[in-house]
Amino acid sequence: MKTISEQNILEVRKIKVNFNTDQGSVYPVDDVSFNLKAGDVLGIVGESGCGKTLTALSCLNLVPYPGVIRSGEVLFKGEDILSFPEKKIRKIRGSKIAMVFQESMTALNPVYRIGYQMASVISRNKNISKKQANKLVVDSLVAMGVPGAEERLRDFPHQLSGGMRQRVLIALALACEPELLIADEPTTALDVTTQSMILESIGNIQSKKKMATIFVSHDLGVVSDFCDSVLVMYCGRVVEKASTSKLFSSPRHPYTIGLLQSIPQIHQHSLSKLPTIEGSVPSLTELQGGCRFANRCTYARSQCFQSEPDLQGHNGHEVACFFPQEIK
Amino acid sequence: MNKQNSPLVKVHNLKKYYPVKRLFWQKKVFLRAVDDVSFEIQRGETYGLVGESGCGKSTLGRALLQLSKPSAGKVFFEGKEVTSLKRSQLMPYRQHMQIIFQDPYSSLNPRMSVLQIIREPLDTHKIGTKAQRLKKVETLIELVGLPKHSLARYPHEFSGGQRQRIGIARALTLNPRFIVADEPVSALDVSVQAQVLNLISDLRQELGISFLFIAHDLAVVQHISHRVGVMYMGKIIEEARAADIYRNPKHPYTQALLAAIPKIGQRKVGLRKALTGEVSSPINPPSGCSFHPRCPHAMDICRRLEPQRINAGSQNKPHFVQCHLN
Repeated sequence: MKTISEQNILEVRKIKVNFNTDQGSVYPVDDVSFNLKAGDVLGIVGESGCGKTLTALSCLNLVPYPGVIRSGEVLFKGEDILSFPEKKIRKIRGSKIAMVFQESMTALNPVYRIGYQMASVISRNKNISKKQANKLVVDSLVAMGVPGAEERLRDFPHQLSGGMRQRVLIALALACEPELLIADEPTTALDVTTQSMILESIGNIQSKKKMATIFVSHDLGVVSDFCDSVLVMYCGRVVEKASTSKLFSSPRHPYTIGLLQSIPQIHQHSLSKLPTIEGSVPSLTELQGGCRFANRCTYARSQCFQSEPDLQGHNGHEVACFFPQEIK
Repeated sequence: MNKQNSPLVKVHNLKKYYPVKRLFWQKKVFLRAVDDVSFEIQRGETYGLVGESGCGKSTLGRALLQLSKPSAGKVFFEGKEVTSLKRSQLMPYRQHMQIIFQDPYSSLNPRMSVLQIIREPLDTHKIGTKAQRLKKVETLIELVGLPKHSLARYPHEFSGGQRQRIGIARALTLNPRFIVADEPVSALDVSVQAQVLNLISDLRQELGISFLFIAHDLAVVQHISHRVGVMYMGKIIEEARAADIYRNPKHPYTQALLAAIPKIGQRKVGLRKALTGEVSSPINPPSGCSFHPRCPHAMDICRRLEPQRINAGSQNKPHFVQCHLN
């Protein structure tokens, strides 16, 4: 019997993703759990290689070969979608859970016109005729703020700018009215002004439709701007989990603190030294047990090198650290 | 002329136009990547150049180093015009002007060891004996914070941040006085970015090198630069001391750029006034001010007349802006 509290649309329970490499078996996602309520926006942040994209892909059972989800559950409205046969999960992908990828050029098919490829996806997912789908295409492009939407339908992906292509992808994801949107670095390759326009459009639609959203990004500024709660990942593990306001006002994990301090801020006294996190992210094949951040952590003690801390805390602010810091 | 007080680099009405493919009976068309840009960089100064993709900031950096021949305009290096020099005459100047590239993955030859990569400029310019070259390379690798034994290794064995350090060491080999850093940290993660930024500012202080620091991240540029120029469609539309440009931006484009940056601890979704529209085509630029189709304050005169560059600041704290509003 699986129980689920009613308001949680997605519950991810202790997923472990495993890759067998020449250097041995590694777990780029290790024991990641989180819940998401309808209408909530969850941010997943971390540096490259921390497992944030794989976590997002796991929610759709889309982990690429040779990766395997070794254990854990992804409960979407109470049902474990990892146990679904391929045929059944295809009905969920796109229509119930939609995904926006980072690379807009590779996500769109270069040999089909925008209108055609959008309409075929929508008519398939929503089981409607091409004609009805075409109308939806235009509506969703307009909602995303694409100027001259009708003319854009005849364009091929390469004729659009990066920002426009990203809008098309988001419009496509939203046209099927999914209950959960997973956006994997949707604005990373874009300029700040374009990024702000796109975030604005997603934000409007998201709050109007009360759609749950997982927002994956490496940019703490964007996450702070856009999300209700945040997971900070490091080396495959969640190191801190809190509401956005708590995480940014009183971060507790030394990694989160270091990360926040190392970002240059406008209006800070410039030409000074930035605080840094020494060293670099360890390779997953070199992990020796113990806290994964210990070798870069200024507060590390012997305990940190011996066993791995679990995520714990109260009031929704959880941290995986033996000696969490208090910062005013 | 007094060598100490003259600017190290002076750029005078620099232009770089690229011919656009056309059929033979059609009119000649050019893409104006850099359009009439003038500025100076003092000794030991870091000049930051910001702008969105395609605004011409990298082209400007390359044209400045004569890596691509400018279409018009002059570049002076220590008072000497380098734009009219032949390739062979340029060689001695090349030693003093170096570049750090954006992509640490494609800018290092994968078939050369780190030692060969850093030594190559010395080989090219035939400087020193073999032993001297090796010694120089060893000091450089330690200067950029990598262990000596990494010299025998190859680029693929290093992480992005470490590769960027190798790229920096290579740029420093010939003791340059001027370095163009073309988005040196945009491919790096934040924690590594901070390390590389600190390294660059240390080097500036220790070695007194002038930098042209190109980036699209305004916070990064503000952090590292003395003065900042904002580029839009091939022109520098605003230029001032870093603190002034961020505290008191005068051009509507600069204001929009600053407003668009997501700030930590601030929720702006639904509150911000985003710019509308996209950057116009540089092949067929709009009449008058090139920013007017997106400008919230556009007036009639902006459509007709291109604004002149004026000093909106004071004599000793110049704040240049190209806008009819000022």
